[in-house]
Amino acid sequence: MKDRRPGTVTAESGEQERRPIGMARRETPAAGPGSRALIVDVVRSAVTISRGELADKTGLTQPSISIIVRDLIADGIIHEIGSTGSTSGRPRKLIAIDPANRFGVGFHLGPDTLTCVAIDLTGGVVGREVVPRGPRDIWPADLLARRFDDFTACLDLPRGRIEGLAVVAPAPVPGQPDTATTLSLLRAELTDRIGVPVLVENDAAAAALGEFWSRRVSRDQTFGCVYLSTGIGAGLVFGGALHRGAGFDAGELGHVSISYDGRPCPCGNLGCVEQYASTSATVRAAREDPGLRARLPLDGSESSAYDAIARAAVNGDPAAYAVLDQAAVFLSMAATSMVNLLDLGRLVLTGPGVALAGSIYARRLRTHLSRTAHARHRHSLAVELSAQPRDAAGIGAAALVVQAAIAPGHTPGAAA
Amino acid sequence: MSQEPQRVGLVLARASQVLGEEPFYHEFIEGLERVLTPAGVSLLVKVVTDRAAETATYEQWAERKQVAGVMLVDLSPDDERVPLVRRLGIPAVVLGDPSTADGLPTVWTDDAGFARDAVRFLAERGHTVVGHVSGPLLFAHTQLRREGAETEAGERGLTLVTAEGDYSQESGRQATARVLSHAAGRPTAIVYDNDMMALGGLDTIRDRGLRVPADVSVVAWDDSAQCQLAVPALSAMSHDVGRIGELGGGAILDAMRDAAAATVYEAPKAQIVERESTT
Repeated sequence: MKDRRPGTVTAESGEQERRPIGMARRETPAAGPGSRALIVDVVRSAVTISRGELADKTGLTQPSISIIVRDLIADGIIHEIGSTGSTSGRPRKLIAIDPANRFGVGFHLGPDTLTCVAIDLTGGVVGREVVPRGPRDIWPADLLARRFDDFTACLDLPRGRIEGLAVVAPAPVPGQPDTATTLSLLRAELTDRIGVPVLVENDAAAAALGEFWSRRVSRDQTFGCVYLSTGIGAGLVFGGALHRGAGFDAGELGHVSISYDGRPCPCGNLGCVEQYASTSATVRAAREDPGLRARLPLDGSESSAYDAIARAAVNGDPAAYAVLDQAAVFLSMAATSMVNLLDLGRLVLTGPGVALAGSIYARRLRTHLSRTAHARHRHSLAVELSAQPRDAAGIGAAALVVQAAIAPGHTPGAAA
Repeated sequence: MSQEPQRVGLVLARASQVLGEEPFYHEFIEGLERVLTPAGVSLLVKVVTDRAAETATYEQWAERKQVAGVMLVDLSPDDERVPLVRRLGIPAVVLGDPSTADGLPTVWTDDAGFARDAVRFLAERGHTVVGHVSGPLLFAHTQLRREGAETEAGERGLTLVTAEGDYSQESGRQATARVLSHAAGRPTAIVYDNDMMALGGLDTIRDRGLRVPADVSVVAWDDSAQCQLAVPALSAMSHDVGRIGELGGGAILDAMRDAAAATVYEAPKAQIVERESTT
């Protein structure tokens, strides 16, 4: 088997991709690992494609494509899925990503749970487990390793077919216990214990990569994702690569201020949109409404209170709708700033906050952006809803692993 | 070293892509977790592509003692999984009609009754030919919905035209084409067994040059964000799926404590939320 471990190949920058790594790709001197990654990524976003169309879309020569596709078939990453007629009379063989042979695993550290997700190469979920854990308790490497062993054993996934593990967590509030550094320090030990590469990323960024991968977004698109939860994050994918910033904190949409003298935020700024539009802020607002308080079960956990509000809102409760729509208005203000700063072409809403009431946020963002996006007269901006908003961060973590393994060059070594 | 958490298993037999499309299971799982997580119990979901793999999974879990209980979903009449988990000695709860559970505890949703409600809702609005695009008839809950719809249509003298899908959007498109071409007459309203098939149906209805709801009314089962965002927004048979999950979580904890308990936990009633797709 070829060495495609993310830990070894992912530090390449776009320019270095052009340089063949030699050892691992001896058979394809004409086309470096960047070409292989490019082909996988174009096949992924096309769903099915012929070799001829691949040549058109990638600019690679037919012989290079034939060699790379042959290798990808031998490695179980791509398979032929039949033929289609063509105008010249010769049937064209179609190829697609072969989902079933290899898997990526993602761990999402939530406030009181660890969500484990395993996906196939197309991003389809093959298993997930939610494990209770103590609040704010980062598990040591040996405990995470045991969870990994248990989870993959229960799903009966052979270790040799698992491409790696990515662990994702919210970016810590400045001055709070530093999850990001802790995870980075755990990384080497965890890799040793489980014998597959380990990546570390912030949860909203991972969620964006997951949506990019499983929705088959083309690398030509300037893609962004809003992750709505107890905080608000964003992830950005440009040219097929997740934008990582200098460290762990890219895409902190929740700390875009929508009011220069607004509510104070623990981050140090005033008016951060997270103080107005996170699921926590929405639950606070609803609990202050005596009518809602009397009508809805808001005294339990914050997540069950939020779901009660969301359900009532979409079932026609005007006060519940008003609370969520107000949050959506606040979020729209920050979304316009992000869209304008980056000139996005496609935006997906995800995270537990949009699981039940995503339609309210999507409608409000569409309306608002159609009036405020700076580029609105030059190009359209699609605003879509995630198909699996509750598990998006865990799925995204697993997608980081899959991308690093089969379309490398875009996932960095995650701050070794 | 912390104690090993106890684990509840749930196997879903379907293509992983279909799971990705089904908000029902996401909300059901969320509800289960709301009860299991505070009790220190983890929930494991495994997606398999066929029944044989599902059976093998229960056997593996039992042999390696990997789960303390299982939640069974999508049962057929006389389902072989019920005697299987009993033989394996795994505490189990069935999501479905008590008639399929052979004495196992069940979380019961009155599928026949809700289907009658949906047909009655349309009859009261003057529809006389009603379509029903169902899920796989292999499932007991599908059969109960079909029977409920037939009973209500029969009592009210309506014509019911039916087609079977597999819950995917594409199957909704195809089943809708069959229903609209039915020899018994073109329905002026169609009930779908889930949200994704209803969304597929919207495409087909439009492709035929028909308008929703002026020519054909549409009712989805399982409300979802996609139903609400559809144009027109879909009227839906909405039930509190998260609550059904919470009942399931409580039931499985009870079953793990006392494997003999054959309780029926009744889910809250579903109701139609009227939006723009029905007249």
